Amino acid sequence: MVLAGLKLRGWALGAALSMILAACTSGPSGGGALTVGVSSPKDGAQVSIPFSVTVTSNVAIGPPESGNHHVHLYFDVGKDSGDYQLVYSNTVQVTRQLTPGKHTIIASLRNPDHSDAGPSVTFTVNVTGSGSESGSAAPSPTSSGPNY
Amino acid sequence: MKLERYSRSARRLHTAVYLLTLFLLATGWWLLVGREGEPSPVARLLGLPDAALHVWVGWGLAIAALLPLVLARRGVAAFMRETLRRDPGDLGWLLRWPLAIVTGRFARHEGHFDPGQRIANVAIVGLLVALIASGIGLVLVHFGPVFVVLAAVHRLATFAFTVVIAGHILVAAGILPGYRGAWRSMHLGGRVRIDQRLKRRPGDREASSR
Repeated sequence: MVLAGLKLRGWALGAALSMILAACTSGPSGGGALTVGVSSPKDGAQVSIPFSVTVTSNVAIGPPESGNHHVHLYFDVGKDSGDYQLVYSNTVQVTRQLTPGKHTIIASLRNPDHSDAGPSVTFTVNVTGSGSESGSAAPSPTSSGPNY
Repeated sequence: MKLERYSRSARRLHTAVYLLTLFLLATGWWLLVGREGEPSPVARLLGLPDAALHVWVGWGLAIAALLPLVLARRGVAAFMRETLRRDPGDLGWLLRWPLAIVTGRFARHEGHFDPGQRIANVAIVGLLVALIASGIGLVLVHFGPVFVVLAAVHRLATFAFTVVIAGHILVAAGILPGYRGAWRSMHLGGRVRIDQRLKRRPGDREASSR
């Protein structure tokens, strides 16, 4: 009787752990690899401060409290830097004072705990000064991650 | 006369835990107030993101907290026994406590810890367990609905822990007249001068004249 009870408890615990793990490892709706991209500005576009960056992904973008992924924007530094801009929705306004000239930006998809989720995309902008943004014709930025 | 309230190993563990905890509180609050992505002075110095620093030092705290369970089980058992004890005079002691922190005239109590310390021990250890467990969970889970629950637990435990630790530091620092000199029990050899405020308690050892 006691043994049966222990077995039942073990089964229930296993089932609960399986459900938790299933909930934890749920990824993109299609079940494929995570993706991230930048639809605006185009790679090499001329921009002026402030300018908007629009990110795309096959997973929902949101703040860490939502349990969703988010994006870090790194300006002229690597992904291991502690200096970045947080992107908690698909569009973000870049207000940092970038000097006029060419700048390399990495958009990195992050887990809610801010660890690297894998995919990232690198693009460049040419800052011309403050004023209105002009996303002139250039191909979309290419991604270093899988499935873009 | 001077007494040694805590053993050297207990004082070392206390120091390790509070140094790691204060660092984690600093980086944790830096992230909580929305400074994520803006390197703190320590992060700038070490060249690492604050979130990564928080995780690494958090692992250090988890190890420091688990070590006594392996290396000092008798000490842990004694701490638990003295913390969870209940005596008839506890309520009276607690009722006199608000006045005693100013006058130093504490009521008599049984056991190594006074009733106030016992409550603080339960709160501090309980919240540390909640913070470490939810912190490890956050690192392992990464995202999803379980992450949301763990993040909420971690955040709420941080708020409560900050208040409890602020109170503990206020008492332990010896700012309040009734606790003058209390900080020595965990620092500079751990020898406390016995006077009207700090009375000898079971488990105290007379300090050797060093």
